[in-house]
Amino acid sequence: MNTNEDILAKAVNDLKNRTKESTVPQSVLERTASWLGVSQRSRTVFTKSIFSPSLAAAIVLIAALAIIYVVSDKFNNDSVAWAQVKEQFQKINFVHSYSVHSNLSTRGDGAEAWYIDGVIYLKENGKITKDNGITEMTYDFSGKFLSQKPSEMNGIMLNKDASLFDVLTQGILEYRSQEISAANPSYIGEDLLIYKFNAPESMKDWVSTITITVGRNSKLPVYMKMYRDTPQSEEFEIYIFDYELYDLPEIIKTILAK
Amino acid sequence: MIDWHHILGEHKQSVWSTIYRILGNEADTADCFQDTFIDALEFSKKQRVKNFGPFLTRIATCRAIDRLRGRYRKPNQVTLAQAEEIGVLKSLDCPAGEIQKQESSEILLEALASIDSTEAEIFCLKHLDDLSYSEIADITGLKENNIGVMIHRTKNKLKVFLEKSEYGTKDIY
Repeated sequence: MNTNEDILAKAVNDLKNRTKESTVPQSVLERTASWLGVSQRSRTVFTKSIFSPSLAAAIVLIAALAIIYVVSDKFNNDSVAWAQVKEQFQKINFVHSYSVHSNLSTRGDGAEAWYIDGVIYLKENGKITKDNGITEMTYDFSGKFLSQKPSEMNGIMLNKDASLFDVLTQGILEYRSQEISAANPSYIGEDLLIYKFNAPESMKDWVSTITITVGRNSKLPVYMKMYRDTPQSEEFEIYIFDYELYDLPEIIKTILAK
Repeated sequence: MIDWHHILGEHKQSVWSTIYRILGNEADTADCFQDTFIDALEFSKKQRVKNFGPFLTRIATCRAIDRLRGRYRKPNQVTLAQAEEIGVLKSLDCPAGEIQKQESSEILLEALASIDSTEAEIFCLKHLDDLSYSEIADITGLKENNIGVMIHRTKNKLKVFLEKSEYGTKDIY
């Protein structure tokens, strides 16, 4: 009969022996190297929590734009002019985006976000926040300033000198080029092109599939569907993008002028 | 500037092993692996790191233990303190030969998740990662004597936990 000392020693040895067959997967190494690269170049370090379903709507909405950017960046299909989609998207300095759940409820309290010349404006929960990547200022709906705090977007995300999309795509979304280049249009119509992609690695816990619909003439994404990874696989969120500046609400114009 | 790609290449396997032996599955290990290097990078932006090997081992251990504690933090989970309180003493003459390989290590992990996290960390650094007292002292800021005492105390706690599991014996007490 062994003593507890022996049992403890045996348990320790068993744990030590666990690792004999386990080596670091190449995909984990690549991803870690990518994160380190982005974080080292940044003033602040990214954490993976930056991109999760519980995030503020603005980040999710902007990240949605980044997904489109990545898709257009990596996908090469001359017949449907993806290069032109990318080119068009890079020129954008204004995007209005909002999301709707498949049960037709809007995200949060009808959250909407605007990306205007490197600044994000988010309307959510009865407040407007203006985030220039360094400071986040909060206003009420009458335009009255309420408070300010350091940006949660880590300073560089909206830095005009650094590419917002590079940061998001390389640091957060971790798309692998093989995934994109292997994708084919699932639908080509006269007006619309629809592409279907597996979720990026960092979103696989909660997203199964992403489809992006692009206007064939404008070469700009119209909307994106993110299918939730749930037993009810029909559940999804639609992120709608529009590029019309005239739509800007008065309150956003007021804050924009400040 | 620190060459993080070199550091990653040099320490990848030891960091991976440190985490894997505690967590035992690839998905959790992969998460902690990335977090470990990102934590290390963040720290290195504020303070100089003398020796990345033990430093990374410590972060990896802390991360893995945190994850382990989360795994065992479930309703109705009997902790060591609770086990003592309710007197969950099992058969005293259960032969050690009946302990299955995986079970004894799982019990140890459960025990590590139940005790104080610093004690668990120091125990792992010493007994799973084979760091010396001096290396542990360097990376934790504790005195070697304190580390020795802490490890001794932790071992006793772990043995009690094993004893109070249905697989342990009570011969030495």
